[in-house]
Parts: sequence; structure tokens; C-alpha cells
Amino acid sequence: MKKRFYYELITILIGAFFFIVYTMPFIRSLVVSFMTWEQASQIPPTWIPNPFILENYMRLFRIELFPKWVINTLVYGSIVSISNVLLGLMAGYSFALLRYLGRDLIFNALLALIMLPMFVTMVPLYVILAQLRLIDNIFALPLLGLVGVNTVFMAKQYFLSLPREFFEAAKLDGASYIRAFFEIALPMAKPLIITITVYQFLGAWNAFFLPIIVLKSPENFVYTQGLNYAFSRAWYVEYTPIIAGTLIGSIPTLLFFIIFRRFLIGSIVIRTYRR
Amino acid sequence: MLRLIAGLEDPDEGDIVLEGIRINDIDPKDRNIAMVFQSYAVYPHMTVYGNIEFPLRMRKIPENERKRKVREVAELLGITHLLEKKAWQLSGGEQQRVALARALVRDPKLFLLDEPLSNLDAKLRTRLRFELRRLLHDELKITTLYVTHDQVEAMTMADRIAIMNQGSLVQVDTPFEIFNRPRNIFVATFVGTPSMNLLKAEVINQHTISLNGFIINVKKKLEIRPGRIILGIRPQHLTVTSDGTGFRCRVTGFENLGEEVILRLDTSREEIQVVAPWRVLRKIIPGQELTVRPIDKLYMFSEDSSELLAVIEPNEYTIPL
Repeated sequence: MKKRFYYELITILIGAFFFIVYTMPFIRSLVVSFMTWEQASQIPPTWIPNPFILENYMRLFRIELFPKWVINTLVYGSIVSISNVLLGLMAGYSFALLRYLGRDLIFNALLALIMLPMFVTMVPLYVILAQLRLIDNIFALPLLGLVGVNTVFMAKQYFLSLPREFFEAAKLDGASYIRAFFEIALPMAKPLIITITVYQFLGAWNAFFLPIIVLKSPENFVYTQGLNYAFSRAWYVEYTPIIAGTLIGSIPTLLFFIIFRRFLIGSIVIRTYRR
Repeated sequence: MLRLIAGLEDPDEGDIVLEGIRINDIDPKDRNIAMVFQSYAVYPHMTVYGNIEFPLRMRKIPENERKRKVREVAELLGITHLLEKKAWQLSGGEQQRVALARALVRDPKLFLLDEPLSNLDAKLRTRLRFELRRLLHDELKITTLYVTHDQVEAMTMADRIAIMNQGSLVQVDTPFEIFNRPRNIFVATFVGTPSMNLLKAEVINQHTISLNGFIINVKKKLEIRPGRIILGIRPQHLTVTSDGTGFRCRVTGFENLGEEVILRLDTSREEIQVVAPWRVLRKIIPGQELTVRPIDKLYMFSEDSSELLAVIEPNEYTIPL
């Protein structure tokens, strides 16, 4: 009895420790977003905003281009989500269930791409975009993100995990590969579709590095990039409004997470099939 | 093999012929062969109606005809009340019917069933075994190829049984022939429960077989060269004797089935099983010695090739006292 109590106490203490470590930055951001710049940069740091101000948020909404940046990001995220679901699932389906010459070779070549750090391809990518006159075009980002290798990989594994008989039955029932994809594979991939959508949308929402390379004029900026642009001064970064901005920016992320948590944890859950 | 016939896999060699036409190169969907998978492969995201309708929809059959046909098949299989249910809500037995309905709805020329009952519990299996045979054989009269590992299913359902061992065909015959004239030891031990006893024996001359010293006189002339053979005797065809005729065995154990008992005996050369009426149990304790003699057919198999050499009917042999 006593042993059990200590065991639980230790578990709770360890849990609490990690909870504090992980939530501290978030709490700090929340507190700082209501502080003046002077108070926020004090050392040692203080934790209660005094005076309590909303100025950081107000400044955000006074930026004329702010709604434009949000829209740009939404467009980017939507295109990438939809195209990844559609193309990624199609590719994954083909790699998993169809038989054709060179299939495994192509797939392995794609997998090898994941191993390359993005900085290796950064310069050539820029050159190609420049030659296509896509630099500073808001559609350059979705074009680059149309379908990710990890999406294809995920889809392939998912379809491999489904019993083959479904697709064989469809074949005997007279469905072509394409019909079988839309009638059988797609409806059975609901958990996968949600997972891909969430990951892609969040990926686009948080993208920073690629946008600052590709996009040049402020009206084309995405959200993260815009924040950085608006509050970077020559000698320092005004980080209180940026923090306010990122907090607002995390709202969709949080919502997504709360709604689709079931699907994100443990990545993919298959409920549709039972033995 | 079903997968080859259905066209899901291509054969390395040989022809697949259906109604006189070679179908090797015909696309699976144009072969008009229906298959029910072991796992049923009922599409979980569709309703039962959607499942049964699917092959018709793929064949672009007009909607009102589709409706009529689905209803027809559903009634035949007694699943009309399930039509609006989602497939993933169904039990194993219901899924099996839906899979059958989906296969039947397009009037296939040939029906392939891949162990359709193996996922069900024993009671349901026995009932469906009977129903399936009545439906497919007596009512619909569709040629059906039924794969099973269950010899009872094979014996009770089939007109003809094809027994396969490691990918090659061993014997194709009626259940009666398979049981009474098994081509080799594999077939002989496959049908019948408990499976046939195999005893090392010796042909002494054209009228005599020796079973470790126990002599069997055969009236007809044996067309077998003297030498070692395998003698097969079904457990039901052995009896425990009280007068001491027969060969000696030691009781190693028994399984009581209620009505009868399966005795496990040791002949000092091999383990054998004997099916005996329940009352013999009163006289038997493990470790005890007793004598056993054959009272029905004897099967003689070659020791090298395991092929059947001869079957000796009960009236064709005698056992000297």
C-alpha cells in the first residue's frame, strides 16, 4: 500500500517536472505579450505584467498587410493540404498495390530524398525557381509542397496495412484501378486523410525558412515572415508584438490539435476493419 | 489456386480453361468468376446494400435493375433486414452472407469460395455448411470451387473432392471413392477422424501378411511382391478382443467422447488409435495390455512411394486363432 503511494508520488513529480519544462516557454510568451518592451527585457525576468497592456496586440492589428499575410498562409496551407491528400494517396496507392516495372526503384529513390538535408537542395532550388520566374510568386510555395515524400510513404504504409482482399475483391467485382482508388481506397483512408491534412496545414502555417527565401515583397509574405518583417528593427527585434502575433498564430494549431488529437496520437488508427 | 483461376495471379505455365475457353489472358473482371474471400472483404465503409450493389454498379447496370437484383439476392440469403446497416457493424456470419450476396448478384459462371467458414465458430459452421450446400448446389446450381482444410466440410459438401498436397494435385474423386480408395497415404490420413492407423507390415507370400508376427490370411491372391508394406487400418475398423486373438498392445491413454472412446495404444512399434464403444472403458486402465484385431477393410500401401497397392475387404481375409 505504502509502496504504491510512493510510486505514484514519484510518477506525479516526474510528470510535473516535464510539464513545467515544456509549458514554461509558452507561459512566458503569454505573460510577455501583455508587457511593455521595457518590462519584458528586464533581468532578472518578472512574471506579472505591470502595467498590463494590450498595445502589443493592437499594433498587430494596425498593420495594414496583416490580413493579407493570414490569407496568403491560408491559401498556401489549403492548397498543400488538398494536393498532398490527393496526390500523396494516389502515389501511395500505386506503390502499395499496383505492380509495374521500376516501382520499387522509384520508391527507394524517393525515400533517399528524405535523407538529404534541405540545405543541400536549397541553392539549386532557388536557381530553378528563378529560371521559372517564380521568385516572389505566392504560388511558388504550394508548388514546392504539392506532395511530400513523407506523405507518399505514409500513404503507402497505410494501404499496405489494409487487407489486400478488399482491393482484389474490387478487381473481381469489375472495378478498374482508378475506380477502386476512389470507391474503396479513398473512403477507407479517412484517418490517413485527416492526419495528412493536419500535418500539411500546420507545416504550412509554421513555415518560415522557405518563405523568406522565395518571397520578396511584403504583400506576398506569409504570416510568420510578415511578423518578423514588421517588427525587426535595424539593431534589435521588438519581440513583444511578435510574441503576441505568434500566440494568435497558434490558435488554429491548437484548435486543430484539439479536434484531431485522436488521429495524431499514435499517428494512424484503423477502426474500419475488424477480424 | 483460386487466385490463379480468378485472375489475381498469373500462372507460370499451363492453361486455365473455363467452359472450353482458355481464360489465361482474359482480364479478371471479364472472366465472370466470383470469389468469396476467407476474410470476406466486405467493404466496411459501405452499407450492405452498397456492398451488394457494387459489382453491378461497376458493370454500369441501370439503377432500377440494380435495385431489383440486390433485393432478390438479399431475400434469397435472408439479409433483407440488414441492407441499410453499415458493413463494419455486422457479425462474422452476417459478413459472410453479404460476401456471398455480393458474389451471387452478378450471376457468375463459376463460384470460388476460399475457406468461407473458417472464421466462424463451430456451431455456426455446421449450420452454414448445410445451408451453403443447399443454396449453391440444390437451388442455384452454380459450379462452385470450395477450398477448405476441414475434411468434414469437404466430405459433406462436395460432389467431387480434389486433394492437394504442397501445390500438386493428389487425387480427384467423389467423397465415397476418396474415403474408400484413397490413392496414397496422404489422402488416406486426411479423411476420416481419427485418422487412419499406419502399421509396418510384411507380405510373406501371396496369401499371407505378417504384422510383427501376427498373421493375416488373405483368400484372394495378392498381386504384391513379398516384402515390407504399410498397412492402413481405420480406428473404427479395429476392435478389442476378449479371446486373445489379434495383436498385443499396451494402453497409453484414452479420450472419452461420451458415446464412444478413442483408445491410444502402443504396439511396441507404433502408436495406434482404436474407436471403441464406451462400455469397454469399465475394463480398461492405462498401462494394461490387451489384444486388438481388424474387423473391416485393410489398406495396403507401398513403403517407398506410399501409393495404395490394394484394398482387402473384410470378407477377403481371415485371422487364424
